[in-house]
Amino acid sequence: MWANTPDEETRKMLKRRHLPLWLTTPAVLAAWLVASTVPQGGIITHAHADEMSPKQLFQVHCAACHTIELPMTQRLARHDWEWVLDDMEDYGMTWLTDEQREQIVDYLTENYGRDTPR
Amino acid sequence: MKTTDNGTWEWLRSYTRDHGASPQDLEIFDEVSSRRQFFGQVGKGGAALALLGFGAGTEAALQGLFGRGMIPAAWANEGVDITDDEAKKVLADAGKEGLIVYNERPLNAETPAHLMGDAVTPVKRHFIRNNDRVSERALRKDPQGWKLEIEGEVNNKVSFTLDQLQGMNTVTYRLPIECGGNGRAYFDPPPRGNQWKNGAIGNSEWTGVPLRELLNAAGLKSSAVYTGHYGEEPILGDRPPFSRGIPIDKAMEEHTLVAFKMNGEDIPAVHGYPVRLVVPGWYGSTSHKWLNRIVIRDREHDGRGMTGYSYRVPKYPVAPGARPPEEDMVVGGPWRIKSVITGPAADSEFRVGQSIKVTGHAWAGEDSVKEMWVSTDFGLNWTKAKLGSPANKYSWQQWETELSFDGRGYYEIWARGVDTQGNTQPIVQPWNPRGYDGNLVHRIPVMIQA
Repeated sequence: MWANTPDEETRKMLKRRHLPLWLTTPAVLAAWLVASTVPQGGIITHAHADEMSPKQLFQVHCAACHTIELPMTQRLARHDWEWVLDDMEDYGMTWLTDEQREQIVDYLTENYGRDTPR
Repeated sequence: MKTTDNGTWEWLRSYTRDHGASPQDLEIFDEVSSRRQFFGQVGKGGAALALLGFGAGTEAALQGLFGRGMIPAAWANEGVDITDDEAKKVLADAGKEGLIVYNERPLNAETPAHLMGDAVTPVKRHFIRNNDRVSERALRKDPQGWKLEIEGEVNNKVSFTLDQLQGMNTVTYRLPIECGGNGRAYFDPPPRGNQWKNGAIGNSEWTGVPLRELLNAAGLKSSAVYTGHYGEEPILGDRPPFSRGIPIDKAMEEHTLVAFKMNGEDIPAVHGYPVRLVVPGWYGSTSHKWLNRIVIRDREHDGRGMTGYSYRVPKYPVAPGARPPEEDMVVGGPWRIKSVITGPAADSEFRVGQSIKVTGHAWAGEDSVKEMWVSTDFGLNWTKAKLGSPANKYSWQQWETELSFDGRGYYEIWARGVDTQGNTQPIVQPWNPRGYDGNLVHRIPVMIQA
Protein backbone atom coordinates (compact mmCIF):
# COMPACT_ATOMS: atom_id res chain seq x y z
CA MET A 1 0.00 0.00 0.00
CA TRP A 2 0.99 3.60 -0.34
CA ALA A 3 2.91 5.00 2.52
CA ASN A 4 0.83 8.17 2.65
CA THR A 5 -2.60 8.13 1.14
CA PRO A 6 -4.53 11.30 0.39
CA ASP A 7 -7.02 12.17 3.08
CA GLU A 8 -10.72 11.47 2.63
CA GLU A 9 -11.52 15.00 1.49
CA THR A 10 -8.87 14.91 -1.23
CA ARG A 11 -10.07 11.51 -2.37
CA LYS A 12 -13.62 12.82 -2.74
CA MET A 13 -12.45 15.87 -4.63
CA LEU A 14 -10.37 13.76 -6.98
CA LYS A 15 -13.24 11.37 -7.58
CA ARG A 16 -15.50 14.27 -8.47
CA ARG A 17 -12.93 15.44 -10.97
CA HIS A 18 -12.35 11.94 -12.35
CA LEU A 19 -8.67 12.22 -11.77
CA PRO A 20 -6.39 9.27 -11.18
CA LEU A 21 -5.74 8.98 -7.50
CA TRP A 22 -2.32 7.48 -7.89
CA LEU A 23 -1.05 10.73 -9.31
CA THR A 24 -1.13 12.27 -5.86
CA THR A 25 0.88 9.64 -4.10
CA PRO A 26 4.36 10.32 -2.85
CA ALA A 27 5.42 7.10 -4.55
CA VAL A 28 4.61 8.45 -7.99
CA LEU A 29 6.15 11.80 -7.29
CA ALA A 30 9.21 10.09 -5.91
CA ALA A 31 9.36 7.97 -9.04
CA TRP A 32 9.18 11.01 -11.20
CA LEU A 33 11.79 12.88 -9.25
CA VAL A 34 14.10 9.91 -9.31
CA ALA A 35 13.58 9.51 -13.02
CA SER A 36 14.29 13.16 -13.59
CA THR A 37 17.45 13.40 -11.57
CA VAL A 38 19.12 9.99 -11.37
CA PRO A 39 20.22 8.03 -14.44
CA GLN A 40 18.44 4.72 -14.82
CA GLY A 41 20.14 2.12 -12.70
CA GLY A 42 20.94 4.69 -10.04
CA ILE A 43 19.95 4.38 -6.43
CA ILE A 44 16.27 4.94 -5.80
CA THR A 45 15.78 7.20 -2.84
CA HIS A 46 12.65 8.48 -1.21
CA ALA A 47 11.91 12.03 -2.12
CA HIS A 48 8.74 13.89 -1.32
CA ALA A 49 7.45 16.69 -3.48
CA ASP A 50 7.33 19.07 -0.56
CA GLU A 51 10.93 18.34 0.36
CA MET A 52 12.47 19.14 -2.98
CA SER A 53 16.00 20.47 -3.13
CA PRO A 54 16.47 23.86 -4.78
CA LYS A 55 17.82 22.04 -7.84
CA GLN A 56 14.70 19.88 -8.01
CA LEU A 57 12.50 22.95 -7.56
CA PHE A 58 14.25 24.54 -10.53
CA GLN A 59 14.01 21.41 -12.68
CA VAL A 60 10.41 20.60 -11.88
CA HIS A 61 8.88 24.06 -11.99
CA CYS A 62 10.78 25.43 -14.97
CA ALA A 63 10.48 22.27 -17.07
CA ALA A 64 6.70 22.52 -16.77
CA CYS A 65 6.68 24.68 -19.90
CA HIS A 66 10.15 24.51 -21.44
CA THR A 67 13.27 22.42 -21.28
CA ILE A 68 15.97 23.77 -19.03
CA GLU A 69 19.08 23.73 -21.17
CA LEU A 70 18.47 27.41 -21.92
CA PRO A 71 18.51 28.64 -18.31
CA MET A 72 21.61 26.52 -17.74
CA THR A 73 23.46 28.40 -20.48
CA GLN A 74 22.73 31.76 -18.84
CA ARG A 75 25.22 33.62 -16.65
CA LEU A 76 23.09 36.21 -14.92
CA ALA A 77 23.36 38.45 -11.90
CA ARG A 78 20.76 37.95 -9.19
CA HIS A 79 18.71 40.97 -10.30
CA ASP A 80 18.57 39.49 -13.80
CA TRP A 81 17.37 36.12 -12.49
CA GLU A 82 14.71 38.02 -10.52
CA TRP A 83 13.75 39.70 -13.79
CA VAL A 84 13.50 36.32 -15.55
CA LEU A 85 11.26 34.96 -12.76
CA ASP A 86 9.07 38.09 -12.99
CA ASP A 87 8.59 37.38 -16.69
CA MET A 88 7.92 33.69 -16.13
CA GLU A 89 5.23 34.59 -13.59
CA ASP A 90 3.70 36.85 -16.23
CA TYR A 91 3.82 33.87 -18.60
CA GLY A 92 1.71 31.74 -16.28
CA MET A 93 4.09 30.40 -13.63
CA THR A 94 1.55 31.41 -11.05
CA TRP A 95 1.79 28.52 -8.63
CA LEU A 96 5.15 29.28 -6.97
CA THR A 97 5.19 30.28 -3.34
CA ASP A 98 7.41 33.22 -2.41
CA GLU A 99 9.71 30.83 -0.62
CA GLN A 100 10.00 28.50 -3.62
CA ARG A 101 10.72 31.43 -5.88
CA GLU A 102 13.46 32.62 -3.55
CA GLN A 103 15.02 29.16 -3.48
CA ILE A 104 15.00 28.95 -7.28
CA VAL A 105 16.56 32.41 -7.65
CA ASP A 106 19.22 31.48 -5.07
CA TYR A 107 19.96 28.25 -6.91
CA LEU A 108 20.20 29.92 -10.31
CA THR A 109 22.36 32.77 -9.04
CA GLU A 110 24.70 30.35 -7.34
CA ASN A 111 25.04 27.93 -10.24
CA TYR A 112 24.41 30.10 -13.30
CA GLY A 113 25.57 33.48 -12.07
CA ARG A 114 28.04 35.96 -13.49
CA ASP A 115 30.93 34.24 -11.71
CA THR A 116 30.28 30.87 -13.36
CA PRO A 117 32.57 30.45 -16.39
CA ARG A 118 30.66 30.56 -19.70
CA MET B 1 22.38 4.33 -20.20
CA LYS B 2 19.89 5.50 -22.76
CA THR B 3 16.21 5.03 -22.07
CA THR B 4 13.52 5.45 -24.64
CA ASP B 5 10.38 7.42 -23.99
CA ASN B 6 8.34 4.20 -23.97
CA GLY B 7 10.80 2.45 -21.71
CA THR B 8 10.46 5.17 -19.13
CA TRP B 9 6.67 5.04 -19.25
CA GLU B 10 6.76 1.28 -18.79
CA TRP B 11 9.10 1.63 -15.90
CA LEU B 12 6.85 4.16 -14.20
CA ARG B 13 3.84 1.93 -14.88
CA SER B 14 5.41 -1.04 -13.12
CA TYR B 15 6.60 1.17 -10.33
CA THR B 16 3.10 2.54 -9.87
CA ARG B 17 1.55 -0.95 -10.04
CA ASP B 18 4.04 -2.34 -7.54
CA HIS B 19 3.14 0.45 -5.18
CA GLY B 20 -0.52 -0.38 -5.10
CA ALA B 21 -2.17 1.40 -8.04
CA SER B 22 -5.54 -0.19 -8.82
CA PRO B 23 -6.34 -1.73 -12.24
CA GLN B 24 -8.57 1.30 -12.91
CA ASP B 25 -5.68 3.63 -12.14
CA LEU B 26 -3.47 1.68 -14.52
CA GLU B 27 -6.10 2.00 -17.23
CA ILE B 28 -6.09 5.75 -16.79
CA PHE B 29 -2.32 5.67 -16.81
CA ASP B 30 -2.32 3.84 -20.13
CA GLU B 31 -4.81 6.24 -21.62
CA VAL B 32 -2.89 9.31 -20.51
CA SER B 33 0.49 7.97 -21.54
CA SER B 34 -0.78 7.18 -25.03
CA ARG B 35 -2.30 10.62 -25.56
CA ARG B 36 0.56 12.76 -26.76
CA GLN B 37 -1.72 15.70 -27.47
CA PHE B 38 -2.51 15.76 -23.80
CA PHE B 39 0.95 17.14 -23.15
CA GLY B 40 0.17 20.28 -25.04
CA GLN B 41 -3.09 20.78 -23.17
CA VAL B 42 -1.45 20.37 -19.80
CA GLY B 43 1.30 22.71 -20.91
CA LYS B 44 -1.32 25.43 -21.34
CA GLY B 45 -0.55 26.70 -17.91
CA GLY B 46 -0.44 26.18 -14.23
CA ALA B 47 -3.99 27.39 -13.71
CA ALA B 48 -5.68 24.09 -14.54
CA LEU B 49 -3.50 22.09 -12.21
CA ALA B 50 -3.60 24.70 -9.52
CA LEU B 51 -7.35 24.09 -9.44
CA LEU B 52 -6.80 20.52 -8.42
CA GLY B 53 -5.90 21.59 -4.94
CA PHE B 54 -2.65 19.70 -4.73
CA GLY B 55 0.02 20.90 -2.35
CA ALA B 56 2.39 23.58 -3.53
CA GLY B 57 4.93 22.06 -5.86
CA THR B 58 2.90 18.96 -6.58
CA GLU B 59 1.00 20.41 -9.48
CA ALA B 60 4.18 21.60 -11.09
CA ALA B 61 5.63 18.15 -10.64
CA LEU B 62 2.61 16.77 -12.45
CA GLN B 63 2.97 19.34 -15.17
CA GLY B 64 6.55 18.29 -15.44
CA LEU B 65 5.43 14.68 -15.64
CA PHE B 66 3.19 15.32 -18.61
CA GLY B 67 4.84 18.32 -20.17
CA ARG B 68 8.13 16.50 -20.44
CA GLY B 69 6.66 13.16 -21.36
CA MET B 70 8.65 11.53 -18.57
CA ILE B 71 11.89 12.43 -20.24
CA PRO B 72 14.48 12.90 -17.55
CA ALA B 73 15.38 16.56 -17.68
CA ALA B 74 18.89 15.97 -16.48
CA TRP B 75 19.78 13.90 -19.52
CA ALA B 76 18.69 16.57 -21.94
CA ASN B 77 21.52 18.80 -20.82
CA GLU B 78 24.38 16.59 -21.80
CA GLY B 79 24.02 17.86 -25.33
CA VAL B 80 24.29 14.35 -26.73
CA ASP B 81 20.81 13.06 -27.43
CA ILE B 82 17.76 15.05 -28.40
CA THR B 83 15.01 13.76 -26.14
CA ASP B 84 12.04 16.02 -26.83
CA ASP B 85 9.68 14.27 -29.25
CA GLU B 86 8.75 17.38 -31.18
CA ALA B 87 12.38 18.51 -31.47
CA LYS B 88 13.44 15.06 -32.63
CA LYS B 89 10.70 15.00 -35.23
CA VAL B 90 11.32 18.42 -36.76
CA LEU B 91 15.11 18.09 -36.76
CA ALA B 92 14.79 14.80 -38.64
CA ASP B 93 12.12 16.23 -40.97
CA ALA B 94 14.47 19.04 -42.04
CA GLY B 95 17.53 16.74 -42.17
CA LYS B 96 19.44 19.06 -39.85
CA GLU B 97 23.16 18.40 -39.50
CA GLY B 98 25.85 19.82 -37.29
CA LEU B 99 23.68 22.40 -35.51
CA ILE B 100 24.34 23.42 -31.92
CA VAL B 101 21.08 22.93 -30.02
CA TYR B 102 20.64 25.47 -27.24
CA ASN B 103 17.20 24.38 -26.14
CA GLU B 104 14.80 21.64 -27.19
CA ARG B 105 11.48 23.11 -26.14
CA PRO B 106 11.19 25.69 -27.58
CA LEU B 107 13.70 24.44 -30.11
CA ASN B 108 16.62 26.79 -30.76
CA ALA B 109 19.77 25.87 -32.65
CA GLU B 110 22.50 27.59 -34.62
CA THR B 111 25.03 26.57 -37.25
CA PRO B 112 28.77 26.73 -36.48
CA ALA B 113 30.43 29.38 -38.67
CA HIS B 114 32.67 26.91 -40.51
CA LEU B 115 29.56 25.02 -41.74
CA MET B 116 27.97 28.18 -43.14
CA GLY B 117 30.03 28.40 -46.33
CA ASP B 118 27.20 27.93 -48.85
CA ALA B 119 26.07 31.08 -50.67
CA VAL B 120 22.54 29.65 -50.55
CA THR B 121 21.98 28.18 -47.11
CA PRO B 122 20.79 24.57 -47.43
CA VAL B 123 17.85 23.58 -45.21
CA LYS B 124 20.08 21.30 -43.14
CA ARG B 125 22.28 24.25 -42.20
CA HIS B 126 19.63 26.89 -41.52
CA PHE B 127 19.43 27.99 -37.89
CA ILE B 128 16.25 27.44 -35.87
CA ARG B 129 14.67 30.02 -33.59
CA ASN B 130 11.37 29.44 -31.82
CA ASN B 131 9.61 31.34 -29.07
CA ASP B 132 6.95 28.64 -28.78
CA ARG B 133 6.13 25.24 -30.24
CA VAL B 134 5.91 24.01 -33.82
CA SER B 135 2.51 24.23 -35.50
CA GLU B 136 0.61 20.93 -35.47
CA ARG B 137 -0.44 21.46 -39.08
CA ALA B 138 3.22 21.78 -40.01
CA LEU B 139 4.04 18.53 -38.20
CA ARG B 140 1.27 16.84 -40.21
CA LYS B 141 2.23 18.67 -43.44
CA ASP B 142 -1.47 19.26 -43.98
CA PRO B 143 -2.42 22.37 -45.98
CA GLN B 144 -6.16 21.51 -45.78
CA GLY B 145 -8.09 24.38 -44.25
CA TRP B 146 -5.13 26.75 -44.07
CA LYS B 147 -5.69 30.32 -45.14
CA LEU B 148 -4.06 33.68 -44.64
CA GLU B 149 -6.38 36.42 -43.45
CA ILE B 150 -5.61 40.10 -43.78
CA GLU B 151 -7.70 42.46 -41.70
CA GLY B 152 -7.57 45.67 -39.70
CA GLU B 153 -7.01 49.02 -41.41
CA VAL B 154 -7.98 47.72 -44.86
CA ASN B 155 -10.90 48.46 -47.16
CA ASN B 156 -11.73 44.77 -47.55
CA LYS B 157 -10.89 41.94 -45.24
CA VAL B 158 -9.37 39.32 -47.55
CA SER B 159 -8.13 35.77 -47.23
CA PHE B 160 -5.98 33.54 -49.42
CA THR B 161 -5.69 29.76 -49.61
CA LEU B 162 -2.36 28.11 -50.40
CA ASP B 163 -3.62 27.31 -53.93
CA GLN B 164 -4.53 30.93 -54.47
CA LEU B 165 -1.10 32.13 -53.35
CA GLN B 166 0.65 29.58 -55.55
CA GLY B 167 -1.48 30.69 -58.50
CA MET B 168 -0.32 34.30 -58.23
CA ASN B 169 2.79 35.83 -59.76
CA THR B 170 5.56 34.53 -57.58
CA VAL B 171 9.12 35.69 -57.09
CA THR B 172 12.25 33.93 -55.83
CA TYR B 173 15.01 35.74 -53.94
CA ARG B 174 17.97 34.83 -51.78
CA LEU B 175 17.10 36.47 -48.49
CA PRO B 176 18.75 36.57 -45.08
CA ILE B 177 16.75 35.73 -41.98
CA GLU B 178 18.73 36.55 -38.85
CA CYS B 179 17.70 36.32 -35.22
CA GLY B 180 17.81 39.70 -33.45
CA GLY B 181 20.00 38.05 -30.80
CA ASN B 182 22.65 36.67 -33.18
CA GLY B 183 25.99 37.60 -31.58
CA ARG B 184 24.58 37.82 -28.03
CA ALA B 185 27.32 35.47 -26.78
CA TYR B 186 29.85 38.27 -27.24
CA PHE B 187 28.06 40.75 -24.97
CA ASP B 188 29.67 41.47 -21.63
CA PRO B 189 28.05 41.07 -19.14
CA PRO B 190 25.98 38.27 -20.69
CA PRO B 191 22.37 39.31 -21.34
CA ARG B 192 19.40 36.94 -20.99
CA GLY B 193 18.50 34.70 -23.90
CA ASN B 194 19.98 32.13 -26.25
CA GLN B 195 23.73 32.65 -26.36
CA TRP B 196 23.95 32.85 -30.14
CA LYS B 197 27.42 33.24 -31.56
CA ASN B 198 27.54 33.91 -35.33
CA GLY B 199 25.28 31.22 -36.74
CA ALA B 200 21.73 32.46 -36.14
CA ILE B 201 21.48 33.55 -39.77
CA GLY B 202 20.52 31.76 -42.95
CA ASN B 203 20.38 33.07 -46.52
CA SER B 204 18.19 30.59 -48.37
CA GLU B 205 16.21 30.97 -51.58
CA TRP B 206 12.62 31.91 -50.76
CA THR B 207 9.72 31.71 -53.21
CA GLY B 208 6.43 33.43 -52.63
CA VAL B 209 4.24 36.43 -53.28
CA PRO B 210 5.35 39.94 -52.29
CA LEU B 211 3.28 40.93 -49.26
CA ARG B 212 2.40 44.20 -51.00
CA GLU B 213 0.36 42.31 -53.62
CA LEU B 214 -1.85 40.97 -50.86
CA LEU B 215 -2.04 44.31 -49.06
CA ASN B 216 -2.99 46.01 -52.33
CA ALA B 217 -5.72 43.41 -52.83
CA ALA B 218 -7.09 44.28 -49.40
CA GLY B 219 -6.66 48.01 -49.99
CA LEU B 220 -4.76 49.85 -47.27
CA LYS B 221 -6.61 52.65 -45.54
CA SER B 222 -4.74 55.91 -45.02
CA SER B 223 -4.71 55.04 -41.31
CA ALA B 224 -2.53 51.95 -41.94
CA VAL B 225 0.89 52.42 -40.38
CA TYR B 226 2.03 49.02 -39.10
CA THR B 227 1.49 45.27 -39.50
CA GLY B 228 0.89 42.67 -36.78
CA HIS B 229 1.70 39.04 -37.58
CA TYR B 230 0.11 35.90 -36.17
CA GLY B 231 0.78 32.21 -36.74
CA GLU B 232 -0.56 28.77 -35.94
CA GLU B 233 2.07 27.76 -33.38
CA PRO B 234 0.87 26.48 -29.98
CA ILE B 235 2.00 28.83 -27.23
CA LEU B 236 4.15 27.72 -24.30
CA GLY B 237 2.84 28.79 -20.93
CA ASP B 238 -0.16 30.99 -20.32
CA ARG B 239 0.62 34.10 -22.33
CA PRO B 240 -0.57 35.92 -25.44
CA PRO B 241 0.48 34.68 -28.88
CA PHE B 242 3.86 35.83 -30.13
CA SER B 243 3.17 38.67 -32.57
CA ARG B 244 5.59 41.16 -34.05
CA GLY B 245 5.11 43.59 -36.91
CA ILE B 246 6.79 46.01 -39.28
CA PRO B 247 6.12 49.54 -40.52
CA ILE B 248 3.91 49.70 -43.64
CA ASP B 249 6.80 50.97 -45.80
CA LYS B 250 8.75 47.82 -45.05
CA ALA B 251 5.66 45.67 -45.61
CA MET B 252 5.25 47.28 -49.05
CA GLU B 253 8.89 46.74 -50.02
CA GLU B 254 9.05 44.27 -52.91
CA HIS B 255 11.38 41.78 -51.16
CA THR B 256 9.08 41.31 -48.17
CA LEU B 257 7.55 37.96 -49.06
CA VAL B 258 4.71 35.71 -48.07
CA ALA B 259 6.76 32.61 -48.85
CA PHE B 260 5.73 29.01 -49.42
CA LYS B 261 8.94 27.51 -50.77
CA MET B 262 12.43 27.32 -49.29
CA ASN B 263 15.17 26.36 -51.76
CA GLY B 264 12.49 25.21 -54.20
CA GLU B 265 10.73 22.79 -51.81
CA ASP B 266 7.82 23.02 -49.42
CA ILE B 267 8.96 24.86 -46.30
CA PRO B 268 10.03 22.31 -43.63
CA ALA B 269 7.82 22.10 -40.54
CA VAL B 270 10.32 23.84 -38.28
CA HIS B 271 10.77 26.74 -40.72
CA GLY B 272 7.09 27.58 -41.01
CA TYR B 273 5.11 25.19 -43.22
CA PRO B 274 2.98 25.95 -45.16
CA VAL B 275 3.57 29.70 -45.31
CA ARG B 276 5.78 32.19 -43.53
CA LEU B 277 6.80 35.79 -43.84
CA VAL B 278 10.30 36.66 -44.97
CA VAL B 279 11.26 40.20 -43.94
CA PRO B 280 14.85 40.45 -45.12
CA GLY B 281 17.36 42.62 -43.27
CA TRP B 282 15.22 42.89 -40.11
CA TYR B 283 15.19 40.85 -36.91
CA GLY B 284 14.09 37.32 -37.78
CA SER B 285 11.17 37.56 -35.35
CA THR B 286 9.36 39.75 -37.90
CA SER B 287 9.49 36.83 -40.40
CA HIS B 288 6.62 35.01 -38.70
CA LYS B 289 6.44 31.26 -39.29
CA TRP B 290 3.20 29.27 -39.74
CA LEU B 291 1.65 32.59 -40.72
CA ASN B 292 -2.17 32.72 -40.89
CA ARG B 293 -3.20 36.27 -40.04
CA ILE B 294 -1.91 39.78 -40.61
CA VAL B 295 -3.63 42.62 -38.83
CA ILE B 296 -3.01 46.10 -40.24
CA ARG B 297 -2.66 48.56 -37.39
CA ASP B 298 -3.19 52.30 -37.09
CA ARG B 299 -0.28 52.54 -34.65
CA GLU B 300 2.92 50.67 -33.87
CA HIS B 301 1.92 47.06 -33.21
CA ASP B 302 1.79 46.01 -29.54
CA GLY B 303 1.76 42.20 -29.71
CA ARG B 304 4.00 40.00 -27.58
CA GLY B 305 7.55 40.73 -28.68
CA MET B 306 6.85 44.42 -29.39
CA THR B 307 6.62 45.78 -25.84
CA GLY B 308 8.69 45.88 -22.66
CA TYR B 309 12.26 44.79 -23.33
CA SER B 310 11.66 42.04 -25.91
CA TYR B 311 13.20 42.86 -29.28
CA ARG B 312 13.65 46.42 -28.03
CA VAL B 313 16.78 48.49 -27.51
CA PRO B 314 17.48 51.65 -25.48
CA LYS B 315 17.07 54.90 -27.41
CA TYR B 316 20.43 56.09 -26.06
CA PRO B 317 23.64 54.15 -25.29
CA VAL B 318 23.62 52.50 -21.84
CA ALA B 319 26.42 51.28 -19.59
CA PRO B 320 27.08 47.53 -19.78
CA GLY B 321 24.73 45.82 -17.33
CA ALA B 322 22.36 48.80 -16.98
CA ARG B 323 18.61 48.48 -17.50
CA PRO B 324 17.02 51.77 -18.53
CA PRO B 325 13.33 52.41 -17.76
CA GLU B 326 10.85 50.72 -20.07
CA GLU B 327 9.72 54.02 -21.62
CA ASP B 328 13.27 54.56 -22.90
CA MET B 329 13.17 51.36 -24.96
CA VAL B 330 12.29 51.39 -28.68
CA VAL B 331 11.43 48.63 -31.15
CA GLY B 332 14.46 47.12 -32.86
CA GLY B 333 14.33 46.23 -36.52
CA PRO B 334 16.82 46.64 -39.33
CA TRP B 335 20.18 44.93 -38.96
CA ARG B 336 23.52 46.74 -39.10
CA ILE B 337 26.51 45.73 -41.21
CA LYS B 338 27.78 42.27 -40.33
CA SER B 339 30.16 39.65 -41.62
CA VAL B 340 31.22 36.10 -40.80
CA ILE B 341 34.34 34.06 -41.50
CA THR B 342 33.26 30.63 -42.75
CA GLY B 343 36.77 29.35 -43.44
CA PRO B 344 39.15 28.45 -41.97
CA ALA B 345 37.46 26.94 -38.93
CA ALA B 346 38.37 28.33 -35.52
CA ASP B 347 41.51 26.73 -34.02
CA SER B 348 42.79 25.45 -37.38
CA GLU B 349 46.52 24.78 -37.62
CA PHE B 350 48.77 25.86 -40.52
CA ARG B 351 52.48 25.95 -41.32
CA VAL B 352 54.60 29.08 -41.65
CA GLY B 353 54.29 30.36 -45.21
CA GLN B 354 51.34 28.13 -46.06
CA SER B 355 48.76 29.83 -48.26
CA ILE B 356 45.43 30.05 -46.42
CA LYS B 357 42.17 30.81 -48.19
CA VAL B 358 39.85 32.90 -46.03
CA THR B 359 36.17 32.95 -47.00
CA GLY B 360 32.97 34.41 -45.66
CA HIS B 361 29.75 36.34 -46.11
CA ALA B 362 28.82 39.95 -45.40
CA TRP B 363 25.43 41.69 -45.27
CA ALA B 364 24.11 45.05 -44.17
CA GLY B 365 20.41 45.14 -43.27
CA GLU B 366 18.71 47.65 -45.56
CA ASP B 367 22.03 48.62 -47.12
CA SER B 368 24.65 46.59 -49.00
CA VAL B 369 28.31 45.87 -48.32
CA LYS B 370 30.89 48.03 -50.12
CA GLU B 371 34.16 46.66 -48.75
CA MET B 372 35.57 43.77 -46.72
CA TRP B 373 38.79 44.05 -44.75
CA VAL B 374 40.85 41.39 -43.01
CA SER B 375 43.46 41.71 -40.23
CA THR B 376 45.92 39.15 -38.84
CA ASP B 377 47.58 41.43 -36.25
CA PHE B 378 44.68 42.23 -33.93
CA GLY B 379 43.43 45.14 -35.98
CA LEU B 380 46.64 47.14 -36.42
CA ASN B 381 46.68 46.60 -40.18
CA TRP B 382 43.82 45.74 -42.47
CA THR B 383 43.95 44.27 -45.99
CA LYS B 384 41.10 44.52 -48.44
CA ALA B 385 39.42 41.23 -49.41
CA LYS B 386 37.72 40.39 -52.71
CA LEU B 387 33.98 41.06 -52.36
CA GLY B 388 31.20 39.76 -54.63
CA SER B 389 27.90 41.45 -55.46
CA PRO B 390 24.64 40.35 -53.83
CA ALA B 391 22.48 37.96 -55.90
CA ASN B 392 19.64 40.40 -55.22
CA LYS B 393 18.96 43.21 -52.78
CA TYR B 394 19.38 42.05 -49.15
CA SER B 395 21.20 38.80 -50.00
CA TRP B 396 24.48 38.31 -48.22
CA GLN B 397 27.62 38.79 -50.32
CA GLN B 398 30.56 36.40 -50.56
CA TRP B 399 34.12 37.56 -49.88
CA GLU B 400 37.48 35.86 -49.89
CA THR B 401 41.19 36.47 -49.63
CA GLU B 402 44.46 34.52 -49.48
CA LEU B 403 46.96 35.07 -46.72
CA SER B 404 49.94 33.42 -45.05
CA PHE B 405 51.93 33.87 -41.83
CA ASP B 406 55.66 34.61 -41.67
CA GLY B 407 56.30 33.12 -38.24
CA ARG B 408 54.98 30.59 -35.75
CA GLY B 409 52.56 31.35 -32.96
CA TYR B 410 48.98 32.13 -32.07
CA TYR B 411 47.18 34.47 -34.44
CA GLU B 412 43.65 35.61 -35.09
CA ILE B 413 42.01 36.32 -38.41
CA TRP B 414 39.65 39.24 -38.08
CA ALA B 415 37.08 40.38 -40.64
CA ARG B 416 35.08 43.58 -40.86
CA GLY B 417 32.74 44.95 -43.48
CA VAL B 418 31.92 48.50 -44.54
CA ASP B 419 28.50 49.43 -45.93
CA THR B 420 27.82 52.03 -48.61
CA GLN B 421 27.31 54.68 -45.92
CA GLY B 422 30.76 53.99 -44.45
CA ASN B 423 29.45 52.21 -41.33
CA THR B 424 31.70 49.43 -40.12
CA GLN B 425 31.73 46.78 -37.38
CA PRO B 426 32.94 47.42 -33.82
CA ILE B 427 35.80 45.57 -32.09
CA VAL B 428 34.09 46.02 -28.73
CA GLN B 429 30.37 45.24 -28.61
CA PRO B 430 28.11 48.14 -27.58
CA TRP B 431 25.76 46.79 -24.89
CA ASN B 432 21.97 46.68 -24.53
CA PRO B 433 19.86 44.87 -21.92
CA ARG B 434 18.70 41.93 -24.03
CA GLY B 435 21.66 41.56 -26.36
CA TYR B 436 20.29 42.62 -29.74
CA ASP B 437 22.09 44.11 -32.77
CA GLY B 438 25.33 42.23 -32.07
CA ASN B 439 27.68 42.95 -34.98
CA LEU B 440 31.12 42.52 -33.54
CA VAL B 441 34.10 41.91 -35.80
CA HIS B 442 34.31 38.13 -36.23
CA ARG B 443 37.59 36.65 -34.95
CA ILE B 444 39.01 33.22 -35.81
CA PRO B 445 41.98 31.92 -33.77
CA VAL B 446 44.60 29.92 -35.71
CA MET B 447 47.87 28.23 -34.68
CA ILE B 448 50.88 28.54 -36.98
CA GLN B 449 53.54 25.84 -36.67
CA ALA B 450 57.16 26.32 -37.71
